[in-house]
Amino acid sequence: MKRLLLFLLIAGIAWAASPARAQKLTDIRARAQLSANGGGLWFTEAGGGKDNWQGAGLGGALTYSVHKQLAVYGALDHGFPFADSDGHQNFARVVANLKVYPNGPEPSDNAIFIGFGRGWFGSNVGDRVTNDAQIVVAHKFRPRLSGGILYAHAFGRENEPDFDFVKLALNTRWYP
Amino acid sequence: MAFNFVAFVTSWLLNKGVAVQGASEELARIREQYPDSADRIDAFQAWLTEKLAPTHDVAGMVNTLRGIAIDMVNGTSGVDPDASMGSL
Repeated sequence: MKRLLLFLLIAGIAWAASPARAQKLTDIRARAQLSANGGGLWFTEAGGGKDNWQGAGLGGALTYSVHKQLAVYGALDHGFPFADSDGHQNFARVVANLKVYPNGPEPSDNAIFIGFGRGWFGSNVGDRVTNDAQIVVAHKFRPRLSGGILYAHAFGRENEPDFDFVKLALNTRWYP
Repeated sequence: MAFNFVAFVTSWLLNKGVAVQGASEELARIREQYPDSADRIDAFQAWLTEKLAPTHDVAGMVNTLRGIAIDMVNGTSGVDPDASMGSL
């Protein structure tokens, strides 16, 4: 049931985005954003194939704003473990991110996003493939600098267990 | 302590426009009526659930997506300059 709901939501977002091709939403310069982030990473048991993995992470993301409330981003992260024996963690995600706050025209330094997408986790990217649901709460400190916390639930595929992960990070926008 | 934290977070969200009317008054009423924190949390959760149910269901989400699609069809989708804030 959860997977069906997730599929319906992703399908809905894809459906919502589909008219974009005819509406000059291909203006990459106006809509693309490049960012990098660093902070802490915590995975629950079985997360990415590691039990209760914790570490520091560095990541980058390419974001495409298809609507003032909807963006799609691809992110690549590398995690350095707090305990050497845990091994390094690598993961990539593609996420459709719905901005649920603010949802009006008024500007705000705070924002809440709810996202759904696909993730590839593990010592090597792709050791485990998941469908992910996530929430991000972010605060803008400066025009190019924000901080945020991400909580994500990864739905395991093909009888693999679900897991959760949390990311607390500073995020800086490189472009534009 | 727990009730105060819940009240703080909720009040902040409400004051920032997440839009449930009457929360401050309800918090004050609950404080007076229930001396025990657990009872306060239960009462406030019940009230909040009732208030949020009509606007935070699947139909609400579908309507949001529908609105986005209509904006795109009309060429009024706009751009979020802070979209990358959510790209963690």
